[in-house]
Amino acid sequence: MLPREWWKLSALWLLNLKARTPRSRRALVAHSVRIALMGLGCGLAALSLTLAIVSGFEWKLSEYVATTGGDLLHQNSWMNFEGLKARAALAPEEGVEGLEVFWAAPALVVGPEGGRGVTLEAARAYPSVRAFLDDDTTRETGTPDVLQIELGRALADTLKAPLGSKLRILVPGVMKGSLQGEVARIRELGIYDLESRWMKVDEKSLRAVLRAKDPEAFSRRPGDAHGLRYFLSERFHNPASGRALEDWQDAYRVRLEASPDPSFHEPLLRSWLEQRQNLFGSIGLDKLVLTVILGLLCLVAGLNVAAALVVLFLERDREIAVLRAVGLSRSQMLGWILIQGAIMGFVSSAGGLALARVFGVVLQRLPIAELPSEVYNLSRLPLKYVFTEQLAVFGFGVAAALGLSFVLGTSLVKGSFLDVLRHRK
Amino acid sequence: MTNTTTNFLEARDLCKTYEQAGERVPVLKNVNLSLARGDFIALLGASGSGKSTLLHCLGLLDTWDSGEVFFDGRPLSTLSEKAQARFRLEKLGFVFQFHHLIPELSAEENVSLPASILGVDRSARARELLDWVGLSHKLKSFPWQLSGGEQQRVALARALINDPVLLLTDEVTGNLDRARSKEILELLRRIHAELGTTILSVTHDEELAALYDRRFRLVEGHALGEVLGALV
Repeated sequence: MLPREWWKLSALWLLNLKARTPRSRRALVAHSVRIALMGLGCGLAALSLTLAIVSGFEWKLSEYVATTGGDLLHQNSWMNFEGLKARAALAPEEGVEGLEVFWAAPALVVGPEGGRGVTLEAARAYPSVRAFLDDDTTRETGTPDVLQIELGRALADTLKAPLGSKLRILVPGVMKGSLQGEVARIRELGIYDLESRWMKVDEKSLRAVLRAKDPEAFSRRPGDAHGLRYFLSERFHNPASGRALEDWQDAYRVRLEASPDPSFHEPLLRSWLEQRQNLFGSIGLDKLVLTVILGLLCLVAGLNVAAALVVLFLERDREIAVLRAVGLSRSQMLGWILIQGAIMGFVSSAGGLALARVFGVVLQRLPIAELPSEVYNLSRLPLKYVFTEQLAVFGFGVAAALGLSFVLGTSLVKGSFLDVLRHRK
Repeated sequence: MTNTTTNFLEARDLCKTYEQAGERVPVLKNVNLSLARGDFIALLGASGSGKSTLLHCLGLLDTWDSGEVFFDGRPLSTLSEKAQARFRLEKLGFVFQFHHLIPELSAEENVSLPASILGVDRSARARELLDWVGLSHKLKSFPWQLSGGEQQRVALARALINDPVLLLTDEVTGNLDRARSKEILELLRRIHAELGTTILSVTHDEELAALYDRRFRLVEGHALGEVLGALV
């Protein structure tokens, strides 16, 4: 470790303070250092901002998926509805903020322009699930004998079914004959709606329809899919919560397996991350590719740091030669070069991250930050500066400057310093 | 050259050639030189005679082709680069014709620098040395605020900060007028007398060389032996 004076000298040289060299040479050093700092800083700012944008999409999407679809799906194709209701009636699990019992079945939906296989789903929020079929509010409100359905935009587009249009729904093996449905809502899921086969039914109209048709035909037959949808607290709604979610899921699985009811054994559990793993995997891959490309650009920018150090050390060759003559060893000189590289890396990285924040604020005020909400489910460009990612960018900047300084330094220290001592420049 | 009773620093059959325009030009030709502890020696020679090269070889600033340099009987060519640097740092002091002080540092900081390479804080000693060379009032002055003679005195103090046993000076008065040159030489003599430092000075100035205890001459890479008496 070099003593304090050397850090001071490094800073003085880098900042070109108190220098008494000719103006033109001073300007050369100052410009080289400035360009190097700006080059690496801008590269790191681009990397930081890109990661913040991709992470912004990732986190917003995570939040959306987790809050709309539930954090954990407990599904069992052969479990009866009563069993699930009993399970739902148990004391809430820790971290659970909401719970839905749902029924799902494969169905065929036929719209104005063709049909499609879908997953039909109905939901009922806990704790009123007990009253699902006994509830007589539908009779009072006079819900029509037509199933009210909710479609994702992608499915609505496929079926060419706008709001209010009539559909026929067939649920073979579950219902006798077809159900008449009406599109009550289209969810604007946009490009994130990978489940374009999803269709949700309104519980009140479902109840009315079931009563009118065959109440006992629904949810009692093997082959129906029933499940519990858990909505957990906010801390589980982001990509960083993967581990915590997994732990929660494991603990839940252990409790289910300890249940005296064998129907709870070997449960089918899927967290929101598992349900959308292809989507999040592709986002992760995009992020990796962008990081590698921008990382390489930063390395190229980092070459400027090495070039600036070459200029700096050539400019200071007389002083360095004297120091070598009086006993500065090669390793100490290398250490000195690394100090300068580290200072430049540190300044560039800190500046780059700060620049990314400023760019981010400016970017979000520009018209280009406005997103078509029907496509993205977002009105503005999302930015999320994940601490670990930003720290990695910072570390990468310092490491790149240090690494390149090391490569340069190992060749610089081998140079002869004797000629410089013989002549005045 | 003359052998001394104690071979403190000894060059034996030292040869060195430089490559110039594809040809090898000999600079040192079997030079032998012995220094005793406490010597105050001038190394004379015309420009290009090889005296600076010899000084650099003795100070481990340069390498040689054949022969050997011994310090207290130990061959120096066997030292690693790191050990050579340590040797220069602890045992030797250098003063060059061009002082090459670091312009961003004050006189005191410049003097302290070799000690900081050694990893020790000798700022008190630096102030003491600057006082000793007559610059106690210029401790915080930067090199560009000093005259040529003052700059050379700072360089001398810098060379002495680690208490070297051998001080090697290369044309230290080359850029100074006669009066300043004599001041520097007086200072060297004081260093020799009061600190007991062995001094080997390269100079081409016969008049100044006469003020040294002993004088050696190099002519075209050959050592011609000790110059006795006054001017040649």
